Amino acid sequence: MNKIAVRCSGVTKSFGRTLAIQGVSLELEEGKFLALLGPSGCGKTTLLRLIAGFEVPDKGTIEIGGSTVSGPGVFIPPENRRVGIVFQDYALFPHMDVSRNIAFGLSKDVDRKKRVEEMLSLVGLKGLQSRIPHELSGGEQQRVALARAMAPGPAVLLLDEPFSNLDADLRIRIRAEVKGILTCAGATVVFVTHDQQEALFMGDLVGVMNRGRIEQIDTPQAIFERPATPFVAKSIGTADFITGTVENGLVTTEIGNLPVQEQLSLGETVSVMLRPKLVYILPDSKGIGIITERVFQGSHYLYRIQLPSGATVRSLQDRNCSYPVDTRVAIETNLDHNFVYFQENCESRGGPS
Amino acid sequence: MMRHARPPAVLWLSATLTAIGVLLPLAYLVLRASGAGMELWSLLFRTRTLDILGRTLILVIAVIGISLAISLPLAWLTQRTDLPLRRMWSILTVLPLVIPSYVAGFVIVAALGPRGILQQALAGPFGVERLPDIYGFPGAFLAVTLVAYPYILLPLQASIRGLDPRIEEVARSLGHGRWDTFRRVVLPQLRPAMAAGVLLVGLYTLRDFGAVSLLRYETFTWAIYLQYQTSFDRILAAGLSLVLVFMALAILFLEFHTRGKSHYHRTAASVSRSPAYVKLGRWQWPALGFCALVVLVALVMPVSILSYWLVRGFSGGGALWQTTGYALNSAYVSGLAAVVTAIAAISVAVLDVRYPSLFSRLLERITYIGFALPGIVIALALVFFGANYATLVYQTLALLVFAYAVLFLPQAVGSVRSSLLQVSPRLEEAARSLGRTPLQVLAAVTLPLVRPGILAGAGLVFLTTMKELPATLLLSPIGFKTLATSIWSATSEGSFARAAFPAVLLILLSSVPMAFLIVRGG
Amino acid sequence: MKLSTMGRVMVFLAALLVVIALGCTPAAPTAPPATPTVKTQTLTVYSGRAEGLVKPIIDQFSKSTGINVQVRYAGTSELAATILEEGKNSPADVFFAQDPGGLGAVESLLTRLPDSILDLVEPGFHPNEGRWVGISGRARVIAYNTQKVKESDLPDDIFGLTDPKWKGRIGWAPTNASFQAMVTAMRKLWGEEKTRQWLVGIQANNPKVYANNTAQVNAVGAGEIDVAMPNHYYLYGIMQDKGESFPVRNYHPRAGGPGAVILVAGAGILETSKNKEAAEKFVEFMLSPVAQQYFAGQTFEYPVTKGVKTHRLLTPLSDIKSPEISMSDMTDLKGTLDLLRGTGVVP
Repeated sequence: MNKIAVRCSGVTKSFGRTLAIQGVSLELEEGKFLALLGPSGCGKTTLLRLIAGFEVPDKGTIEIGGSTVSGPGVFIPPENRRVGIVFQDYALFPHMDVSRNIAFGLSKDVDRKKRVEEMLSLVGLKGLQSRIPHELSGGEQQRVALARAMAPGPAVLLLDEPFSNLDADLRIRIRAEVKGILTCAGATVVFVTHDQQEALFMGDLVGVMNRGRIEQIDTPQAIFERPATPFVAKSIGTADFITGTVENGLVTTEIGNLPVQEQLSLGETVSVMLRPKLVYILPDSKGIGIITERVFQGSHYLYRIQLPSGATVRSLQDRNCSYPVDTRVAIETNLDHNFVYFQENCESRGGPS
Repeated sequence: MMRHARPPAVLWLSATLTAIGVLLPLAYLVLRASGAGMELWSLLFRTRTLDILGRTLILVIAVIGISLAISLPLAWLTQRTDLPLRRMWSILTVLPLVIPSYVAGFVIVAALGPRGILQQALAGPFGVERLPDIYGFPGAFLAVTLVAYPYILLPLQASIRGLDPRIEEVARSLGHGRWDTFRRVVLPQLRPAMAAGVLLVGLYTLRDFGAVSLLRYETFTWAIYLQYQTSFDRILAAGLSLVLVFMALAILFLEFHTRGKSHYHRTAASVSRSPAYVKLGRWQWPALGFCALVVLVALVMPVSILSYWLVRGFSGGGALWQTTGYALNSAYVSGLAAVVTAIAAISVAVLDVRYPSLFSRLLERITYIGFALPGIVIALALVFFGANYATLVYQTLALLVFAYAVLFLPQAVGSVRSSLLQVSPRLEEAARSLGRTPLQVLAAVTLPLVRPGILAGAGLVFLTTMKELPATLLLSPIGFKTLATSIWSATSEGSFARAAFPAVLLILLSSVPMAFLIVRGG
Repeated sequence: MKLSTMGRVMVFLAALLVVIALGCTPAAPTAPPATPTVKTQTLTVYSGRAEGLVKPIIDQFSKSTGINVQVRYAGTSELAATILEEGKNSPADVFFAQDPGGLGAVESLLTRLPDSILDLVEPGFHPNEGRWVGISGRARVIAYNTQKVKESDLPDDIFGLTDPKWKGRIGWAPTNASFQAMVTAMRKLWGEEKTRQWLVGIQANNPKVYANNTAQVNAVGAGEIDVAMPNHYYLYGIMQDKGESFPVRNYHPRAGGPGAVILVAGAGILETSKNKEAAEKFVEFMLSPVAQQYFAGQTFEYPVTKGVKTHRLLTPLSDIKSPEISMSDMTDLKGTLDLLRGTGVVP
């Protein structure tokens, strides 16, 4: 097992009366990427700032590279933490050229010129060293910010919504480039995003945050298949929920009886998660569902189907299964699959093992 | 936003020193006024005092009103339209700031007085025997306005320049006309700049002595001077000064409210595009006429009258040479004052913006008190503390510069503060994460970025120090003469002619940094 | 680079401090003379009298005695307030004031002058306690426009200006110290009630208010007003500039009274002075024939010592029916101000 680069235990932070972070614990190994995913206001940026040392936690400890940087009686200021940070707006020093920006964090005993050269070639900006920030494109600014943060060789690199300022197509290209650069440099990265594609693409680990807590932290695959809460289920991939009652080891719902793995107490009400990929539809004049929406996605159609109870589920169908809106359909599910379901208190059970 | 980081010790030290400096005059006033008995109260509540209070408020409100009415169109015309010679007008309309108010007072009496230049000119062809009386409110109003309106114009120009033109374009696209857009979109964005300017104009009017005494309009400041001049009554003067402090606090409170929560960090690239200039079309001539009228009255008239006196009273090279020496003294001490005040202002502004706390907010507010008090009060407060508790620096340049800092701090605090508000704190955090201590960040990132604000603030301090009189007379090292004191000694002997040369020199010398500031800012 | 920016700031600050410190040193007033044997003494004078006026005669004093004189010039009242604030730490040795009021305000901080000095002037020109002494005299006058008013039309006594026929024709400068000294004289000579009547009567005639005497006299010349109440010498200063055709002349009320009072500018030595000997020499010099002649010739003031000729343009003192009044009585400004405030003449 690799060394732990960042460890948070029981970190809590409030601003006035607002609890921004509530008892967050996490571990990140060296060389891994952790994506903090969540809607705005969930506390992910605050967590990043706590790790960076721009905020002082109320409770809990934070360790970077094995030494405590925030904890009871301990507070190492940001400049002594060996963290690199890239902000959403990059925060390049507008009064310095590219090479001075990159050299800013380098100490005296380093061969600055050489290191700046290295960083420039790492991020592919050779020849632009004497440009000033406002002469650069958004993507170039981003790479300068990255080079500046990596130049001093930080123990952990923190990225705050690093791609949100870029155009959609540029964003996909740049994030691939950035991932390449960071992997190549062997960096340990914590980054914050509200875009699940980005989180899945970049993260070795994904931490889904909601209202100041990490609801689940795991590999993207594990989170996708076994979301811990309905919130997590909706954050990673698409998910719909229908309610059912437990009877004889099956959950009885309006689309049929669904198998579950574990024993559930009889008569309990649960909600079952349905991924569109696992919902099949067939035109059937006696079917219980009605197609209310059809979205063409290139290779697939995504249908939204209304059920008699008023609940809706979505279904992903091959492009040759084209049905018009208002078609009445029968619904089938893959009965070999163990469904993820949530009890009233929202805790998940079951799912594939 | 709450931030738990503690500001660096140097900032604290510098800000605390500043706070002490600003509070010294207040402490002095309370000390003096506490020696008063019932007499003070009966004096304060005489109807005459209330009468003067009313007159003062009327003057303050009138000067603020007309200054806004002059400055808004001027700022817009010079920054956003195709007005011919825009750059020139934007410099010329701000320049009256360099004219001392006592000079403006003399000039207005000479030009518009009962037997002044205007009357003489009209007497021949039209047989005008008497002009409407300039003394009292009309003259004081005119004189104070002429030297004070640039305090609003200056921040307005900068603010209009900094506006994001896209916001106006959005408003236009949403179906608002040009005027409607100005009223509903542009004007609200200018509010912080207007409030800052209004504050300075209001406080300046409260504390002005030169113009109101020459034009015989009894304001509170004049009443305070009279206590010293006629009755040598320091206790009553202190009592009246405290009333002035309360008036200043009221204005400060109002401004603080209009300031609201205007935090506007501008991201790096947002205003790189220059706005489309509005075509004036047939309005070009009235617009030019307006600019020309303001420049004519506020700048050309005083300068030409001074030049007339200068030519008439030219008395050979000896005096000129001596006056050049005074000019060097003026520039030297004003330069020192500008630097020291800028340093104090930086610490106050950085504390207020980056480390908000009750202390830092209070500190920022109280720096304005010195600007509202008559110079004589500040000077005597420092005479008292200097002679009795700081004999080593008493009547040295150090104490004089300190007095200037207390007097003129808000001019620098205001512009450093608004500059700082536009620098994103992310830049400083980025620098912190790259291994710099807060102080190093201040030196390497913050200060270079707020340099325009620092320069503008220091420039204003320089200009006002050049003009300052009471503190210079009482606190300077013995024998240290400046342009302002030589204007004073010439006029106190009744010789306008001898006052003209130092006055012209003072205006010229102040215009150079002023023009430089505007050109750089533009 | 990390330190160099910071370093530059530090070097700059250090340089600034040095500059300020250097700026201070030569002017430090507290530096005591190294040894008592050093003969070059430095005398510090606070002068409420204008520099153009007194600098030449002070230079002459330095030249003839070898005593170095530093002078702070400012308004008499500002300097008086300064001396009061400085208290016993005042660096001043001599206070040279424009009017008795300023000297009266700081009287408790002045030392009694030796009789050898007091005896140089006429008894009326120093207060009984002898803490200061008059250096030059100035007469209160009624200045009138010769094209609009004949001297014979002017009242015998200044009280006559309350006559309604002067309505709208009078100017005064009620905040001026000499004017207030005249009112003090009125209170002594006429009593409170008559003085109040006079103030009320003048106000009923809508006088124009001026900030100072020069403005008043100029206004008479310009025809803004017909008569004004200044000191005598402002007219001669203006006539030097504009020639003797300037249509204003002085009138000393022919029946005497407070309108014809003679006031003084004077000087006193501070109790705390460490240079009393030199200070006394200074005051003595100002009363010497050379200095007295200088004041008479340059400033058109009346000499206060015997045997010095007045300027040819001036009415000789002997022809002015100035009232008998002691300088000690002239320093009671408090009562005067209460009266002026009570009648609304000054704020």
